[in-house]
Amino acid sequence: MKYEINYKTVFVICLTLATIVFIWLFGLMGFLILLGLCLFYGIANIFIFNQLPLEPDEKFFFGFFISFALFPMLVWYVNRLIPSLRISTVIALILIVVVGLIMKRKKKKEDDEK
Amino acid sequence: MKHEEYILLTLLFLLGLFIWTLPIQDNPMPFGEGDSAWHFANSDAMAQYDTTFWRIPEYIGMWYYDFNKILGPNALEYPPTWHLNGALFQIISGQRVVPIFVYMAISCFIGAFSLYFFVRKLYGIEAATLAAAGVILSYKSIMVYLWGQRPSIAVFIFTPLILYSFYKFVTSFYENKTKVIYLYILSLLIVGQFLIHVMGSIQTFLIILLCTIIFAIKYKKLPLSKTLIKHYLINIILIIVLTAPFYVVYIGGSVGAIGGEISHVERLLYWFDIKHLDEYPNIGGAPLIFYDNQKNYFLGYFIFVIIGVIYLLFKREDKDLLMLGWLAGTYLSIHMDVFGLFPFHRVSRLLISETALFYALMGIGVFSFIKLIKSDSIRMILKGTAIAFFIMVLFINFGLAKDTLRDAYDGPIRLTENQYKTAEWIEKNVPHNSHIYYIGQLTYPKQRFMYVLSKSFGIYQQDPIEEYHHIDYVLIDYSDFAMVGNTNGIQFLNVWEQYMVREQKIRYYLKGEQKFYDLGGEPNLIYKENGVNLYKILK
Repeated sequence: MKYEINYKTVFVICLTLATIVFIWLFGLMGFLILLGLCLFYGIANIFIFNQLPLEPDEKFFFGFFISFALFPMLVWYVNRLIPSLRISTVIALILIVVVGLIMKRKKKKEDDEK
Repeated sequence: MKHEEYILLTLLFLLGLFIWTLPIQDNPMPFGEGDSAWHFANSDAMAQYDTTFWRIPEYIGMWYYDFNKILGPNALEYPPTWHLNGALFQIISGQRVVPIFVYMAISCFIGAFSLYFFVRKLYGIEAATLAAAGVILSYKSIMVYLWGQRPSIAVFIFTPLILYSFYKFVTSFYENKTKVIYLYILSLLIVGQFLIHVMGSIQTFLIILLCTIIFAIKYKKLPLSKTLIKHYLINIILIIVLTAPFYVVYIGGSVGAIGGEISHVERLLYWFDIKHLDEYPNIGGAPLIFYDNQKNYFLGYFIFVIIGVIYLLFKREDKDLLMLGWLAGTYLSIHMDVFGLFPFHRVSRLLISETALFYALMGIGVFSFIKLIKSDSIRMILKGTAIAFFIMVLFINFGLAKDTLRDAYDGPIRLTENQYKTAEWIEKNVPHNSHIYYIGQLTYPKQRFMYVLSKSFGIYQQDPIEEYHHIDYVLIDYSDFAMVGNTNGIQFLNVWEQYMVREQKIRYYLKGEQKFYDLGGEPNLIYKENGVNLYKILK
């Protein structure tokens, strides 16, 4: 019988491994750094890049690396208007989620029309 | 990519994390040369002041005072992207030093994964794994990382993805199934790279230009059509809108960042020759070990690179032409000094990008050549031999990388906990941006980290004091000399301190000449702990 591992299992394995090593190396701070990695560079993956007509691995890699450069720029621009970096970061994350949801709704509508 | 490969990638990532953060795992004090402190300062300041900047704080701006001839003093010296990432990690973790250094480490080795993706998609898992592991263990990158010019490494993490998206877009065009999504992705990646460091963009421009020419020659037409013109225009506007605010940051920058004279034309005959440079072996910027390829790769590495190039020239499929374009573009970019476009010390930084290219060529050459062999048994034997050989090479490189990083900035050349505490005290009790004269620390980078952590501007023993207008405080640090048992040094500092208090003057040496600087007020001792004395000058 051919055994195939699904992506959710892989995701859980990878995240568990990463969590263990980050905590082993840097304790709670390590966990928070990992959380930062997932939030800052992963959230656009889930909400925006998932809606694009790309292959799954392309979505993952493009999402991560584009976020690496453009997420801080988004925060920087928000911070031109909002005088707190912390609040600007939260707003930037919310903006990504909102844009992602709009894209998802639009895509669903287009799919329904087809 | 198969799902299981993500486990391999996670393991590779964690290996990178473990090795590259070795310097900060047991000792949470900051490390690196002066540039390291400067980059740390930019991230730290954003998080500490809870704001981003268009004008950086004076205590950072004073380091390269009036660097930007258009924007004037205290202007940004880079777009804020890379530094802001560091600030975000300080904010989310609530710690000041370690999270920024962990981020810096990740940003320096993460390029291994964009390279993995690129090579994996075009040439298979064996070549991709070799290339990624080679980059993670790259001695060249590790050295630059330790010294502190970390954005120079981070900027190349985009190159493989830029190449991939360019390839997907162009080949889809020539197959009459144009996928414009890759054009938009390409633009965003180009923007991202520009926002980290402009040198990477210059190299990318050359690579993309050459690849476009190569494909246009092969298919006898440019990737242009009526419908595409609209998308090209949108993308050009997109790139300009996202990057334009920072053009002036680069254009205004001075200090020999661009320009030069046509020289050393013979360098064109070599991949990267340094022996014929006038200043050799003191070629500035980096020690000779930086150019030692046998340390970065292994003995006879170039044979495998050449096999890779021969394979590409032999096959000449689209993906092979892309690789050749990458090779040619990199070659041109690391010879820009010959044409007088950039000074050598800038061009030599681009050499970091060579590691990804060379390991990709090695992997492609060896494993793709093996695939051409028809006999199953011989192919299996050769493949097994190649894998065993490269595992051995990577194992040796792993040892070198681990030892280098583990032993980096050990002992008194690294900021001590007491010095860190002093800096924190200054940060809380002394007005920010104050001018403090430092004496006693063993190295200049240590002092620089003191400036950053205390949010003050520091003046070093060998700085021309008059240029900095005034001295608000004087810090005499006996702790380093005490740590290394240098009694003469302690005695010297003691005499120096007594003279300073008595005469209200600083005795210093500039270009071998003894000089005196009038403090203009009485020094008043305000801090005396852990071998550090801090005086406030009462004016």
